[in-house]
Amino acid sequence: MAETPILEVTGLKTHFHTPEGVVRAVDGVDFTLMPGRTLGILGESGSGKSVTALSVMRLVADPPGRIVDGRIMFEGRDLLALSPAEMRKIRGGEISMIFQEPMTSLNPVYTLGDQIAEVFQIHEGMNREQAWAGATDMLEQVGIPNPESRVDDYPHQFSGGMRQRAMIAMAIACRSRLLIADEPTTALDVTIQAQILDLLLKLQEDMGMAMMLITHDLGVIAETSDDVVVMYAGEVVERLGIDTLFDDPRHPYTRGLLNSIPRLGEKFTRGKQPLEEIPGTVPNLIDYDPGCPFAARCGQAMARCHTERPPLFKLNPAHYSKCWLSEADAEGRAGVAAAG
Amino acid sequence: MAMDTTETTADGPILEVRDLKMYFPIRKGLLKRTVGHVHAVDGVNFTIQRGETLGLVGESGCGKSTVGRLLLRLYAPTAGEALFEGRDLMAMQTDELNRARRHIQIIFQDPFASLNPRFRVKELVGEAYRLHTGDKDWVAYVADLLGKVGLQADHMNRYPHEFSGGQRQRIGIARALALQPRLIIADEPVSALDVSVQAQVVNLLDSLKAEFGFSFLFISHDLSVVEHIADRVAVMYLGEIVETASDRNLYQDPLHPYTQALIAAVPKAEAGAKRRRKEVVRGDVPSPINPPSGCRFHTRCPRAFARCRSERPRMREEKPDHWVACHLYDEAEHG
Ligand SMILES: Nc1ncnc2c1ncn2[C@@H]1O[C@H](COP(=O)(O)OP(=O)(O)OP(=O)(O)O)[C@@H](O)[C@H]1O
Ligand SMILES: Nc1ncnc2c1ncn2[C@@H]1O[C@H](COP(=O)(O)OP(=O)(O)OP(=O)(O)O)[C@@H](O)[C@H]1O
Ligand code: SF4
Ligand SMILES: [Mg+2]
Ligand SMILES: [Mg+2]
Repeated sequence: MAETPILEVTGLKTHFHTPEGVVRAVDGVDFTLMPGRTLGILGESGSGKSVTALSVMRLVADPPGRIVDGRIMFEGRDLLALSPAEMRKIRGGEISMIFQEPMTSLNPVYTLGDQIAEVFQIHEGMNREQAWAGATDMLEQVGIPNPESRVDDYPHQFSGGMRQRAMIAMAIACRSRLLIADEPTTALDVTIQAQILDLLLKLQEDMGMAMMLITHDLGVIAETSDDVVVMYAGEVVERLGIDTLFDDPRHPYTRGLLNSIPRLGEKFTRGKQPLEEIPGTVPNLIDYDPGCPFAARCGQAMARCHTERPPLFKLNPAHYSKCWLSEADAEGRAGVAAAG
Repeated sequence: MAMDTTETTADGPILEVRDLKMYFPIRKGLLKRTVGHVHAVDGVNFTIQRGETLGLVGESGCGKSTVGRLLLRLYAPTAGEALFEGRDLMAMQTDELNRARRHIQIIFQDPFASLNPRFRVKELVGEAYRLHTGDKDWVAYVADLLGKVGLQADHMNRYPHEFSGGQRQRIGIARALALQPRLIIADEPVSALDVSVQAQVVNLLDSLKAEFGFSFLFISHDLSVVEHIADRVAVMYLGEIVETASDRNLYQDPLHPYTQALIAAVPKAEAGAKRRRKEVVRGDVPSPINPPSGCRFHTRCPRAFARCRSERPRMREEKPDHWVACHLYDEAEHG
């Protein structure tokens, strides 16, 4: 691929300084997102998915948080080198985000129409009337019935699914080239979730935008993503294409995750089997352990895993794994071999 | 273990729920006048056989938790019966109810909220057992039980905040098992847990069930987990059960359009899922305050016809032990 990536993150580290110590929330994140594609970010609670997204938006609260290392290139521009004013123009203009907590981005005291219209006024320089018409139009595009009467509603008058649609309307209002969606469907029922995913995929097709979709749900990843990043304890442990995720995952954590969830229909085709357990729990992010962060829970850990942090091994140009077991098959290394 | 297991009637279902209803009043204004009702549970019927696991699935707000709480008589039902080993829980007086309650235990979704932070694990798990049995060796009993749920005996002197979410759920499970109940109700027992910890708890529940032989009502919105754990499944929509069948029949041959939509909407964690995405049902779940007339699913159903809007469909046994409430299966439709 000769195309240049829309977003390239290398060696990203974002830490929080707390009274208990330094929380290494993001501690070695590398990925690449190509224009028009969807990158899924998979990982369980606390693995650093949201902090990664907030770092790209430069919205990590400082203090206590700080981006201490790494590079974030957006269409060839180094986002970490931009002034706050330049960054504000990018946010909501070229990159927009759907936040994990719907109520943090919707203001309860303004109508939805006002809030969407504001995006048009700020980023497109529209007058009030144009912006209001634009807002009605956006609500229609995201499938809100009777948008003319609903623009005057306040967020609490919307159901969970409708609020999520309104947030999407706000996020896509200025046709950004990159949309970051942080758990856009987690709080929703499956039938509403399916509607929202359909909507996101359709908008992406119509507008050609790239999407970074954060979720802990393997099914949601499978139904939306082209490429996948698997995070564990603040690090990217594996990067691969969506088909490889299911056909040939290499990192023991990724494999464990795939085998630990029940799949619909499996019980009848393969007979009922116990789910594979990943023993133990995720490590805390304060005490720094020199070895692989997954070593304590890994069934394949070797002596070296407990003392030496594995680098991100390149298995092929589309597949990377941060595991010593991948060393033998690797073409080389990528990113930074995090050291203490 | 020193437990009295009298009062057991050997045959018949362990639980038979008949036309159970719970309407919550909505009160407004200074005088708190009742201005309407939330039809949270509206005529629910199901049966759990001895040793069976019934999965209760449905989307948020359809009334699953209310059913569970009614069975514990945490609410006074608007109408209906729930026969536990033949006796109606809903009609019991305090004494009889207290006796029945030790045989029915609940495991809650939120292991953080359901354990009193001021008690040690020892008391949380063993107190009810000690009071009921007077067993002097109750501490040994608790130690044994902790081992069975994958904790260590020396955990019993710690407080809940010293445990992870998965461990707290194990404490909740040990507490539910302590009186050796004949029926366990689990309300979303793994929904609050990390993906990698859910498997641990699901496997634990499965193996404990095999060991203790309790009957099990497993409430969840996660169809995949329910399929894995249940023998039979009941699907709920807006306060009603729309379909009940064996696990296999329900998932492999769903009859109700809502069940079909629900199964189609579950994201499939497999290669090629993006290319195979299908159209799903439209619209939001209507409010249980003014539920739609006729079949409650008619506002979203792709196959609705005139009768669906006016007439409430009745549960019928369309195939052996496969029940469905949908006009598509009415006698008349079959000609
Ligand atoms: N303001 C903060 N101060 C201290 N620690 C923080 C702060 N914000 C986040 N963290 C920590 O950083 C880690 C990563 O958090 P993050 O929100 O990115 O997780 P996540 O992967 O998005 O999880 P979830 O799936 O629960 O949303 C967590 O351990 C969290 O406690
Ligand atoms: N104590 C109460 N007072 C008034 N309304 C209630 C009460 N408890 C529940 N409800 C309402 O009854 C309906 C059913 O709620 P319930 O908690 O049983 O749903 P659920 O299926 O368990 O949903 P979830 O999947 O979100 O847990 C909802 O509309 C809810 O708002
Ligand atoms: S590096 Fe070692 S401990 Fe880490 S995942 Fe690979 S095998 Fe397991
Ligand atoms: Mg998050
Ligand atoms: Mg509930």
